[in-house]
Amino acid sequence: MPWKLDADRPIFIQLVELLQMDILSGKYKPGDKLSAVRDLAQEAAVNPNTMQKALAELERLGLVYTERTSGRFVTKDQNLIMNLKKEQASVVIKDFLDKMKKIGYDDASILEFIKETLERSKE
Amino acid sequence: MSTLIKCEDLTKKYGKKLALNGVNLEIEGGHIYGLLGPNGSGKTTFIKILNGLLTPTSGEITVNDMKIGPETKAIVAYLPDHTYLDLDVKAKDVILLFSDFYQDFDRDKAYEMLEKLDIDPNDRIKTMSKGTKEKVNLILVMSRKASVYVLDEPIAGVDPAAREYILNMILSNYNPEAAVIISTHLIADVENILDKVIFIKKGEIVESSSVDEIREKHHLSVDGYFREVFKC
Amino acid sequence: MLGKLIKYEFKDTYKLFCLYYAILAVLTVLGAITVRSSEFIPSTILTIIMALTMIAYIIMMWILGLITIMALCSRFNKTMYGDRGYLTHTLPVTKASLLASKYIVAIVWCIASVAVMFLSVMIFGSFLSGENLFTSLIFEISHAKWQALDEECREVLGCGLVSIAVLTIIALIVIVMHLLSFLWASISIGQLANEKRRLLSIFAGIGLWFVEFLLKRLVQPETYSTVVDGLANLRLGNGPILHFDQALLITIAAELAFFAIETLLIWFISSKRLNLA
Repeated sequence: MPWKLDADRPIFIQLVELLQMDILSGKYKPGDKLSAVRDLAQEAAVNPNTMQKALAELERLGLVYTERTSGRFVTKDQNLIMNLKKEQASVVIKDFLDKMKKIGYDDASILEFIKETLERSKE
Repeated sequence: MSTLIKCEDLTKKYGKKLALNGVNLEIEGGHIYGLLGPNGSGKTTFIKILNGLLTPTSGEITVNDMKIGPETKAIVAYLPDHTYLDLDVKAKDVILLFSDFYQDFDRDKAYEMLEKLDIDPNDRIKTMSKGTKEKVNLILVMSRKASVYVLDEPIAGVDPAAREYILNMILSNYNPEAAVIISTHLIADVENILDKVIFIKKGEIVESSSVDEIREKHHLSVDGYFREVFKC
Repeated sequence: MLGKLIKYEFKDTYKLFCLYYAILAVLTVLGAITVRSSEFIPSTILTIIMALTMIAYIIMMWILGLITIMALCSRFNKTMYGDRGYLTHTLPVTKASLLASKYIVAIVWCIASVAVMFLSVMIFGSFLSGENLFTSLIFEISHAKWQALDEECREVLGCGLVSIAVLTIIALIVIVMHLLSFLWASISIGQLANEKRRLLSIFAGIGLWFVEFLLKRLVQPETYSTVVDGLANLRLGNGPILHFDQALLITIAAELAFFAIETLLIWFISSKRLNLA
């Protein structure tokens, strides 16, 4: 199935995001080998050059590295992945806080609400 | 990536009507181009000239530095937007014909694809549904190891599931030394597999960039941007 | 590539022609049998069947030539200027070899049709007369006084038997080639239009015929003669005005010239003025 992509944002940026998510979520574990560009592109149903661009960006970010004869691998650098996790999380949180504030909650009530929701979900 | 097709001031006149007006274009290998424009924009004229079905009024066009002729036809694979096969022949007869005339035709690949798509090589073309005919046409083109693939409306008239398969077929055929030119109205469906796009309007190139460039600049999909550029 | 084009040209046409020949064969045998058996079994029904079969046979014989030419023209139009044109003109072959393959195969079918007609007459005649016309023909040929015939020929027609035979065959082939080029050129001119192509083809045909007519009359009206004219101009007894072999040569030259011009026209139109729908 083709990957889900928005129509109005550059494709390669979305591919970077999706691949990052795969790394963070553990679909790709540290040290895992990535499929060839062509196969990934086919899986995502995107142009191989666009996929190549996305992978190059991931390499630039240090999340992926190339071993000339064997292919592309996910970084083994746990710290880097941790940092990326933190970065993504803070984006989500900031977005969440902005939205909650718009609805009308203040800081203390936000914390309360979160605690309650987490406890309820444990049941 | 080498320049495969070079157009210099390509012009085609029909009496007073200007179908192509001084088109300058370079098509490079390794890319999948979208040739986009409304009916009567010159798309079909350009495609016909590229395939030697029409001669330009003035200007030059070369494929691999060769003038359009038998040598360029040997390296250009063309998928017209309607069926051009003899209806009475069987699929396997057409495959034989193609492998006879085109040195770059891979017969095994063609049979493989027929099997995957559940098409009997012994079926006659006239007994096939429209969608099946399209698939056979596409298989013939994709089984060639050409330098340029010209696909005129490859997914029109085909059901959505088959469309996905066809686009997948195009991607799996990707060759960094070959160029694919897709001319279509169904931009939204093919946008993701393109990397470069060419907008043609009234015989002139009005835009020549990449999918991501358009999305970045205009915050619209190519489909959306197309509708803006070609607003009636 | 020419060989391949010829192979596929035959592949695509043989079924149709074999069908025609088969029909003629059936009519030949049927006609001959009914004619013969009507002698032994007098009956009105049989006589009617005989008459109908004879009529069908005669019609088929006459129109086999017409059918052959029409089928060849229809095929030319379909593969060059119809939907099939998209396939034909994107094959990696030169227009010259494309045209050559069509001419060659067309001539072969024309010769085949003539041969089939000849066989049909021989078979029918054999049934009718009760004698084996094939052996009779071979007998006549092997026992003819060739020497005397040759001398007679030289006296009357101004040249030997062999020259006549060879030149006549060449002339017939060239006339057929010209007929094809004339029809195919008309079709090619017709496809220049976007609508009413058939109408334009007919006008083109009339126009071409008229131009040829004028040219024939303008250039050497006295010495130009078709095979028929040549015979008409002959003054037997006073020696021929024109040696018959010369007449044939002039005919061959004229037909070849027209053939060449029309073929060039076809080549030009299909290369530079192709107007596929």
